[in-house]
Amino acid sequence: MMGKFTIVYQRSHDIDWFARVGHIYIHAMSFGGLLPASVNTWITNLNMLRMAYRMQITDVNVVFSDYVEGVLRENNEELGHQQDRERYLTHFRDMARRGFWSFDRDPHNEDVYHLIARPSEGILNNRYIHGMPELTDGRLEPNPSERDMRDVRDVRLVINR
Amino acid sequence: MAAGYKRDDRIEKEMSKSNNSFQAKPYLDTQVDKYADYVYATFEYDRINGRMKSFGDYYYPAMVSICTDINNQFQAEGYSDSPIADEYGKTLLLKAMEDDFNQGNSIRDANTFKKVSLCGHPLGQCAEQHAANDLLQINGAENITIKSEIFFSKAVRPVNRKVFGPCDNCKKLFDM
Repeated sequence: MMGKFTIVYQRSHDIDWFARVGHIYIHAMSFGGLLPASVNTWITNLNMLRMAYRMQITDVNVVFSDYVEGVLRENNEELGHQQDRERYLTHFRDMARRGFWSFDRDPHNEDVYHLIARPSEGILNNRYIHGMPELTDGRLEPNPSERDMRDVRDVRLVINR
Repeated sequence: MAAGYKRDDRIEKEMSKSNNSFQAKPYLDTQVDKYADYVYATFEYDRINGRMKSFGDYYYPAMVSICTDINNQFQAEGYSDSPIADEYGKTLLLKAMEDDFNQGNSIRDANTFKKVSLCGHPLGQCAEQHAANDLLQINGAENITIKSEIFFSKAVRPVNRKVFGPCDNCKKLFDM
């Protein structure tokens, strides 16, 4: 099972993958999409997953993106109850509380991810994760500078194939 | 895959093949929400407690589903996973896949499951297909007609309980 994730495996699973873009630590859910080549390594990704789950879920404030607020409005009927909304956001919120910028795949385009949640401070200064792979085949749009990181409400993560 | 089980008495008999309106659908939809929550909670528990394998795997299945037969006698849960010909070969489902997607020719390996697919998902990976395969392995359910006598709950993504419609493969295989 080591080496790369097979295509068939990627298509049938919702893989938590991790990467670094500049100062930003990213967590993303693949939802059956193909992983970026630079993070498609079983052992590295599993190590990052283990590390993420060893990190404490802090009580920092979390900012939810405009994108997910829009999705929630669209699904109002489906997610009319606070409990359903909580269930929809829990996984991404918990990852943001661990210090990650948490993204979900666009359901119609596997090369685009949308920010769902991030720590309100932008970066948690005590989070330095050894061995986090750099995302060399993807970019943030727009790419937030350290200065304006706290104001960001919407970022797309675009994968170059 | 999750094992199948005998029917719940709350489901009435006699349905027609309309996968959006069959009688047991509200009940199955409630059950699949619970199943999605169970899958999510199990993964979270295992991950937080350092046990990294759930459902035979490390990562969430993309989708889960539940199916039942036309007489509501049997139910089976399923989750998306890699297709394995030997698993589908235990029931009539592999033969149905070969007839519907490969002009009756054999489907044995992952490449063929990908090649014959009508959409971006390889044939045989969907939660619905795994659930149906488990249903057909229940004692007494072996001869259920695949196209006309198997009905499905909504398909749910365990990570956020979002609902998605069936793919082109499932639509053709189960006449949905």
